[in-house]
Amino acid sequence: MNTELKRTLRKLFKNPSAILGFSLLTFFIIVAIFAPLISPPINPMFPDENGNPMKLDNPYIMPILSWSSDPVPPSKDHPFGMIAGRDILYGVVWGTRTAFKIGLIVVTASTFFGIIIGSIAGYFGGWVDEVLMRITDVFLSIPFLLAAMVLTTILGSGLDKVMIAMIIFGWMATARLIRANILQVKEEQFVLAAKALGIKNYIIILRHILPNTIFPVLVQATMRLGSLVITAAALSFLGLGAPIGYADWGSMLNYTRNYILGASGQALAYWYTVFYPGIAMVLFVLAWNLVGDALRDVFDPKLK
Amino acid sequence: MSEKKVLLKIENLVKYFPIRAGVFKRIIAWVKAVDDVSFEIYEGETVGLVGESGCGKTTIGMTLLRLYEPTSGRIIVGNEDTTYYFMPYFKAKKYIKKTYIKKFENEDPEKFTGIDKKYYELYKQLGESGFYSKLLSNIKEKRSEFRKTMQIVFQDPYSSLNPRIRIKTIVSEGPVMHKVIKKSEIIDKVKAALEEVGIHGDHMYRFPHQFSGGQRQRIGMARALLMNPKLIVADEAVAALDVSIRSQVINLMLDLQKKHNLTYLFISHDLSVIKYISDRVVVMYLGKIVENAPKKVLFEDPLHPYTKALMSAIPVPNPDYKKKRIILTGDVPSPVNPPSGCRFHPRCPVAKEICSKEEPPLKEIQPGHFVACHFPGSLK
Amino acid sequence: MEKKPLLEVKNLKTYFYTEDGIVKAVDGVDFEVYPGETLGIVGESGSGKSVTSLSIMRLLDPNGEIIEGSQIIFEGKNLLELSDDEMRKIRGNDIAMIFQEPMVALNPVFTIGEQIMEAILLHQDVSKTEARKMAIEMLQKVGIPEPEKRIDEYPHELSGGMRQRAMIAMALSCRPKLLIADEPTTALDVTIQAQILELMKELQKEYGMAIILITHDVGVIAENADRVVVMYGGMVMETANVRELFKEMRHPYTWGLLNSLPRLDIEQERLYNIPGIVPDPLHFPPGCRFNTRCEFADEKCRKEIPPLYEVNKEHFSRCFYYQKVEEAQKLKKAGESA
Ligand SMILES: Nc1ncnc2c1ncn2[C@@H]1O[C@H](COP(=O)(O)OP(=O)(O)OP(=O)(O)O)[C@@H](O)[C@H]1O
Ligand SMILES: Nc1ncnc2c1ncn2[C@@H]1O[C@H](COP(=O)(O)OP(=O)(O)O)[C@@H](O)[C@H]1O
Ligand code: SF4
Ligand code: SF4
Ligand SMILES: [Mg+2]
Ligand SMILES: [Mg+2]
Repeated sequence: MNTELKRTLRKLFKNPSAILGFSLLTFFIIVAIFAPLISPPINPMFPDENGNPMKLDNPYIMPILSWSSDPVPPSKDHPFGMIAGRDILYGVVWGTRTAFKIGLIVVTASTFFGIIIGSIAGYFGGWVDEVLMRITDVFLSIPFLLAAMVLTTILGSGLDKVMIAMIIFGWMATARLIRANILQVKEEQFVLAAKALGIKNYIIILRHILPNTIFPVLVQATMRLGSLVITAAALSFLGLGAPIGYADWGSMLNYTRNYILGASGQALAYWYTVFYPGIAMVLFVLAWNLVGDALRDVFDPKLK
Repeated sequence: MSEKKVLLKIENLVKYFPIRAGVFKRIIAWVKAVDDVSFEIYEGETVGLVGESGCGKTTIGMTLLRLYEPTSGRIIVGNEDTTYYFMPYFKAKKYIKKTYIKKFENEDPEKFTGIDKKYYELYKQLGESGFYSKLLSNIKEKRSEFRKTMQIVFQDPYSSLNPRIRIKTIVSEGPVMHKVIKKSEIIDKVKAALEEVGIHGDHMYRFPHQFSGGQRQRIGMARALLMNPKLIVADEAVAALDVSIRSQVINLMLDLQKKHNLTYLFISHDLSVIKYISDRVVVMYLGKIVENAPKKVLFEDPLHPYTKALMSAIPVPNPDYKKKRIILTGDVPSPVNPPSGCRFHPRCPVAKEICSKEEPPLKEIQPGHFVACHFPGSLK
Repeated sequence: MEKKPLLEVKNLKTYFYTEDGIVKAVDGVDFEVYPGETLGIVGESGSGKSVTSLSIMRLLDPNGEIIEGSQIIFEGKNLLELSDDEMRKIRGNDIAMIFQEPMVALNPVFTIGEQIMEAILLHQDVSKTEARKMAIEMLQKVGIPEPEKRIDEYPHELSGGMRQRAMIAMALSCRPKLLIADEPTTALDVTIQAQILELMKELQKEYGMAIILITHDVGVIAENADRVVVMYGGMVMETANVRELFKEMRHPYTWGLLNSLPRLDIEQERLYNIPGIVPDPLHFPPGCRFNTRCEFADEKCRKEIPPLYEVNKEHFSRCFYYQKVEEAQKLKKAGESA
């Protein structure tokens, strides 16, 4: 076991793109954890009774620091510049937390549902499989943006609603993948042996089948995690997601789209309004993709 | 042999697999993997089941253990019909009605024997609804009892142990679940079981990949043994092993049999192994039994042409051993469209006209020696 | 035995370089093959049989290397010194190979006819129509029914036995002088195995080629080989002609192997067990490779690798105590007759 682990680690760290992926991810995690230190959630515009800057009730609502809504270029106090009276650095830093929140919650929940549905379909087969897979097909055939729009008009807009929509329409790929894997593992002799021992179905699934099928799903989930943030951003861009002023890369981009073209005569004058949230998002997606790739290399027995 | 107790009785066992095709997954044909097979296994004996690839050996084993549901037929263990044990409630009821109630209502009770007779008494005593509820009651306990009676050892040492759990769990999960051993006894019992099959007891905390093929087969034996079964189905349990390891495992199986009074259904394609290990041999061809006889009789005087050809085809590790080779022509036909009449007739060197028309029944030619051939013993 | 050998393998060492270390798959193998004979190579899995044959063909995986000092002399030429082009000509023309799994050797996207014709056209100066005629003839020869029809079928349309026949047809279409057959019947049923082995014997008689028959099945060796090489742990343990090997083996491993076989021809009380497990080629024991499992092993065996002792002109054994084996055998025989 130990040599196996060593070999795996050696393999991981021989691969430069894996190293890049893990470094980027570590960087984002550090930023998310230390967000209150990097960008303290306070508003110096409003001192409290002791004269200290006011603590924010909700650090995800970016504090308004000036009444001018026009973009302000990067300066010493605001290294990424300002927009709508808010500090872009603050938004990018706290937006990291939002990105993790969206990614982790949506991926965990949708993968969880996908695993349950896929396992039941694959393990029991027959008409159960037939029904569940037809339902999966139906969900797959609905265009996601359309469905999300309909759902948010019913539930109302907001980041949590967007996440619910993404969970409801995000489990199908997982379900299909786990089902296909289970169909394979189900025929393995150790599963037959467990059945011959009279082991209960749920234990067979949990102990014998899932641990031998779960890795491709985890790889897929990892890869998906990054891109979910883009989907969420797209929904924010459509005005369905987080409200303006929320520390979320997507809604920041949504707000700045008015400035993308720059001021008249200076095409790129407001570059910083798009660049910083944009690059954060791109790197975040890249990080998860590279990590997912690295995990696939490690877990794919064919490449061993 | 006839005074011995019958442990397992298979009657007219049939197992067909559907072949599906098209968008609607319609059934377009059936693989007739096992087609009307009957035989008995006595307590304490080893029955060797031999035949070429695809003739239905594994299917019989899997159906016996109810890893496949039989298409039809009866599987009687000891004094109980176990066929319906793993069916859903209504299917089980339907089975009982079809197999017993109909028979009891329409046939002459004088003629009932064996299990039919026993169940008829029950039926008379309890009435129809009482009979149903007697058979269908405590189904969970019945299933558990069944699992404890019959276990299986598989062919592939690599896929037969879950690579992600420790040997201790692999070996103990069944017995713990059926309360054959208590949770507090796990370590002692697993250790004892492993040592019995020649694996160091301390190795119970290892994972399967840390063992060689032969050792894995031993662990597979330990897993079956700890359930304390009466019958072990060994499906090609030594086929994947090297010669020097194979003899170790075969000897181990024989020792364990003596010690625990085990009964084996030993499935193999290798007649030499079958000859060494079995008391009785059942030869299959294309889903049917062609010959069933005590080992000595079968090897000294095989009566079915296929058995004879099979025997002559086994290479003997003795350059001076002279034997007459019977080289069969052609391939084994597909079990989807088996030949008419005797399924062996397209390859049989002594086939006559009747062979392609009439299926030869499995007849008892001498006591205990069954042959399904119109001209038994005609191939010299 | 004044005949000149067709193939001489001398001190062949083939190592694989893996992440876990060096696998000494073949570690000093010597044998000869004479024209027209069948040399059987027998051994358990991992003993180096396949690597030996792939080394002769120079078809090793890229991580494998034939070590300096090895010699494979075919008709006087050392194959290890040939250029890739020259070697390609030898393969197929002079030496052909058939494998356990025909699907590996046959290309699934071409019909078997196309593949046999390709082999013929590559090595012989004939027209396409002639090649097709020759291919049909060849298929007929290997016992494929309706060869005119079958020639246009794809490998997956044939049964296992038919595929093996097609592969033999392909291998023999250029009339090689040496055919290497690596477990040619292991994947087949015994009745089909009997057909294929019979076919190989007939074709050998007709073409006069030599065969290296590699198998783990001692019975197949006994019935088909003229001389036998017993391999274990990447080394030759014993070589002798087939009668002598089965009657008067002089190596504890050969003895153990033959006595652990269940057999049809005799009654057996209890099978002999060679104790222990087949050694891992990454960690061969020092000294004699068999010393961890040998009843006769002593200090010397655990330190030194025994040389191949000459028992007689045709019989060699890699055991310090090869004479003892004879005594043990006599004892056993005495026990049997008593
Ligand atoms: N699940 C299945 N679905 C469809 N066909 C099956 C299934 N299992 C077995 N068969 C078919 O049933 C026939 C008998 O198969 P079985 O595995 O019992 O053969 P066997 O005698 O054990 O052969 P082997 O020696 O190769 O193990 C074969 O034709 C096989 O292809
Ligand atoms: N490409 C390879 N890389 C590493 N090890 C190999 C390779 N090919 C074969 N081996 C090892 O060499 C040894 C001999 O293999 P082989 O000749 O195939 O055995 P066999 O006698 O069963 O044919 C085995 O331990 C095998 O695992
Ligand atoms: S019934 Fe006829 S075809 Fe079948 S085995 Fe007997 S002689 Fe041969
Ligand atoms: S050299 Fe020693 S260990 Fe090797 S086979 Fe001979 S007696 Fe056994
Ligand atoms: Mg089978
Ligand atoms: Mg090999």
